[in-house]
Amino acid sequence: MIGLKKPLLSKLFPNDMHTTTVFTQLQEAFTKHINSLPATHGWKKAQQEAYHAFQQLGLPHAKTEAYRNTSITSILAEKFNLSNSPVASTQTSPEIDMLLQQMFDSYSIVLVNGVLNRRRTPINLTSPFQIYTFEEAYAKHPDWFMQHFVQSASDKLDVFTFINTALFREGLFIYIPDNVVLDKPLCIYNITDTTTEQTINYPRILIATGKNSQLSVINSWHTLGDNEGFTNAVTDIIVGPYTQLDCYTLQTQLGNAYQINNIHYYQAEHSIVNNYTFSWDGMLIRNNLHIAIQASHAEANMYGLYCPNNTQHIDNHTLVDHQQPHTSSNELYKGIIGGNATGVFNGRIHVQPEAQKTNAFQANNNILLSDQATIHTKPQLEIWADDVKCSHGATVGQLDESQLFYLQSRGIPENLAKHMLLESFADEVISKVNLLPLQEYLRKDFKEQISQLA
Amino acid sequence: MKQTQKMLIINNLHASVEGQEILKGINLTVQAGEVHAIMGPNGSGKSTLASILAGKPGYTVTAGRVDFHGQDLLSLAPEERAAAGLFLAFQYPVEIPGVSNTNFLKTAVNQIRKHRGQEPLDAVEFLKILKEKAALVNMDKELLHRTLNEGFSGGEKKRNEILQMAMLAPSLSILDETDSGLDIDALKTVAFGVNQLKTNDNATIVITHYQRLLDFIVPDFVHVLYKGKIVKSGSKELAKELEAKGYDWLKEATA
Repeated sequence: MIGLKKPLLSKLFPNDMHTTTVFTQLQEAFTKHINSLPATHGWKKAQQEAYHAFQQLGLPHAKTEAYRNTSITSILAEKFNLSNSPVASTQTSPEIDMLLQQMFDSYSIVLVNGVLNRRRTPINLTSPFQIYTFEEAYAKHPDWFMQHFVQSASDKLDVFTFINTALFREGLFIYIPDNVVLDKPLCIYNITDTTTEQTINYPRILIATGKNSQLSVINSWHTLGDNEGFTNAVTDIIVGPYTQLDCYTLQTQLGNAYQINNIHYYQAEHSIVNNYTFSWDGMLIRNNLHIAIQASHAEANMYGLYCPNNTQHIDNHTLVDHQQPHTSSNELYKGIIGGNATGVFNGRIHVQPEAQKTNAFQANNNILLSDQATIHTKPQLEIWADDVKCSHGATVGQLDESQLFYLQSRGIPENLAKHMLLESFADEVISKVNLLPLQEYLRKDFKEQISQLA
Repeated sequence: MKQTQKMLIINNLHASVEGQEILKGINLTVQAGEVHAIMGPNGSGKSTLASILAGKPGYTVTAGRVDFHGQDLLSLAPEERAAAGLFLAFQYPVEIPGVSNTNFLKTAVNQIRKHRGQEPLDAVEFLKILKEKAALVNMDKELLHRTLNEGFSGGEKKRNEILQMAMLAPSLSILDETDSGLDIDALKTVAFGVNQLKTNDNATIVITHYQRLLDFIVPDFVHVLYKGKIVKSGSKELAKELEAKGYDWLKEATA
């Protein structure tokens, strides 16, 4: 663990009181929610079970290892009243239309405060995939839907996944059949509308693919309005055999948002997952990325770029779980931390006893731009098989003085030279993006972000 | 000679690194059209002098001053020195992964033009000049598209330095041990490039350990730096004398 300069946030706050406050608020929220559901509700039982799991686990506190550097409970207690129900959006905001125009050609799906906005989701029966709310999917194909839902809801990892499972109102189910190669990406706009008041929401997305398909998903997170928003999202992605799925999480327009983003993958044999996380906006971000490689010859690649400034806090916890032989994973996360900001990286690699011939590689590189910037980086390898190749490396440093001087000595002003070096540092991640228009968008947006940094 | 032709005047320059004095009173005047060679044994302060002139951080000037085209050189940022016409060919050119060689050159050229109040070159003009200058140092096209110095051989790095020099067209070039690590063919290529760029309006300071480079870049003056001071100056014959006798006789003479 490399920790620099700043005392743990948790030491600054009286944590126990906060834990009780948030716990009680969530209790109230759940009681209201569960009583509003009809008895026939297909996943009511799952929501109740998740709630009990949450009660047993409790909220993270000062000594909870997984949240040691992100004192989420205190922040929630201070900023939000979690007994409030998610607010329905006005849904007429022209800002949403503007937002949809700025991106590139895609199948767009719009969720506002976790609820599917049909008017802005122009997907019809001729689309090469299907989207349903959980209710619709359950009404049409209860067994088929529950089979997928149970697989994903059975995840026993993080308390915030349980909280989402207990409290989400309307899930979104996307199904991509066998042998489909999508001609353009699926872009899910997850919008938190805080225009009228502070907003709490629990988006829930389930993506399941068939065999031998290929697609890209962009999960783009946005905040409208100036009030604070808290999002605790779960996205479950079941990747079928021989399918390649690229998924991009864009946390680049979060505004006043606090976000816990849980993404879980379940990979079948010969599948390929490329997961990307770009984070440089928002007040607080905690990403829990969990990839379960459940069958042999599957491959997972995880790329991340985070760039917090001011007092922003960005935390990436990743776990890749190799469960079967002949699988590989590759992880590259890079961070640039400025101002008083904090970055956290925790990368876990599990290699189960059956998972012989695993290849796993992990790297985390960080640049600190100020004396007040902090990074906590920690690799965690747990290997129970004996014939595997695993390696990891973490670096923390400043901009290279000799590189800076070299550029300056050729007439390039210091500030521009710094930007060139930061852009080249970040480009190792951005260039891994397989969608060229998205690469361009990210380069441009990243450039704007660092122009405020250094 | 008119005062304005005195391009560089180093006057009683003292400098230290981490409290240790390295330069102990350097005096040197360079005029347009001249080639000066600075020689000396290891640790005499040759590279320190080059670094201080280019503005590398980490050195403290404790006394003296340097005028460059009538400006107080030491008060300028490194990029301002480059814009004023000073160029340092590095002994160890830095590798910068992720920055393409061509983009870097274009940025550098246009930043210097901007500083001088000139319009930036457009892509077509720039590439035309680049092609012409790359031929001068026999630079492979492929290297122009690679990232800056990354994975370049020693010779390729040095040729890339001379290419940068050609593109930026400085009035004063300081070549810091440009011959180190070069075989004889690479040395000839580099020297050919430097000689092609030489005019009556620019000047060159060649810092070297060996006389070998001076067979190809012929100096007008040779200075011997020892223990932070110029202990002897002379014509190009002095370099030959040093090659034959080594530095020890000078050490004894100054002891």
